[in-house]
Amino acid sequence: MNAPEVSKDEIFKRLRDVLVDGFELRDEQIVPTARLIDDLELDSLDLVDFAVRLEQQVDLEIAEDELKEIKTVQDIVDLAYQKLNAPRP
Amino acid sequence: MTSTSDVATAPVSPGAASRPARAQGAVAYGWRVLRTGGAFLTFGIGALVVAAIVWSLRLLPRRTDARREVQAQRVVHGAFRLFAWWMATLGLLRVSWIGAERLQGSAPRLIVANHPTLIDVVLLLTRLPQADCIVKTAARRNPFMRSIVTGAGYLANDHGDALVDACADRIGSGRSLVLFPEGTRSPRSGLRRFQRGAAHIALKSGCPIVPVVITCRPPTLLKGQPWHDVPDRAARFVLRVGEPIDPARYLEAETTLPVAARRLTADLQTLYEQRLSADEGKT
Repeated sequence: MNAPEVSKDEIFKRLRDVLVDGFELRDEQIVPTARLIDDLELDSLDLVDFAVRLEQQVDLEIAEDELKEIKTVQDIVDLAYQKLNAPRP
Repeated sequence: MTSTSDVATAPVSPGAASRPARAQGAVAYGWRVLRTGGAFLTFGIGALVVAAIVWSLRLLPRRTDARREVQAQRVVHGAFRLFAWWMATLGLLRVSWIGAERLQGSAPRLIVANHPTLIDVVLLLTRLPQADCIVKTAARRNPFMRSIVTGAGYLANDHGDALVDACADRIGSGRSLVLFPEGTRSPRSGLRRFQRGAAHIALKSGCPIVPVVITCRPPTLLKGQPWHDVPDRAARFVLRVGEPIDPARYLEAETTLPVAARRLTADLQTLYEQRLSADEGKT
């Protein structure tokens, strides 16, 4: 059976922990439609730090050009879902 | 003795008394505009002279880039002192400093300030023989400004994340830096939301932040205000230099860098809001 190893719900929870612990945000602020810059007030420096934390805590590597495309929490969930469940060589 | 009724019944036609006053006001306004225009013209001519001096520094033998930049910054400092004196002599401004001794000495500092007017940086640099600044990219493209901006080693604000590293490097090499955390000039009243770059630079370099609160009454040279929209009297600037803020106390165990930067920025903004609010209450 080829069921995904990590569900979107699980990714969202891990992502929420990273944002709450790393950036002093509140749980209720982290919703799928929340925009990283406009709603969560992450600046360009925070985004770089955020990418590092995702790599360390979620084992998710995000390239610089991918980071530029990310606007909302849902965008990261989708990207993470795709990457974490991609067939590994 | 003139009674109140004599004055009240004097035959004055409506508006007749105010016409000379209006004429006097127009003349005084025109004279102020002329003086302000003269000051700006002086600034432009002075910029050309400074650009020529800064350019000529590269002809001096055996100078490192860093040394040339610091020399160029001293030239800018001298020119701004002269310009501030000239504006005061023209009766366009009066400047008071409180706590200016906190800017003395050679230890590197991160000097942050609110940005109510066009000439804040001019006034700040009159007290700082050496100070790196962050300038708009457009200033580096301007043929008149380019020589000064590059000669003095001022940093362009288009470097993004690398700008924090560049600023921390400058501080690490013993240089001070001036920064406006609002990113641009303040609104007519109050402050813009502070960006977190200053906090990141302080946290990365460990350098204390020296806050300077600038007030200007009556408001002049605001963002979007035409230069000829001059106030009816000399603008009074007060530059209040506060106690240095040690960034180390924001880096407690378990505190991430982004959280420390947010807390430091929030405290900085609160400090400015309280100071400006207190000053507003006095006027």
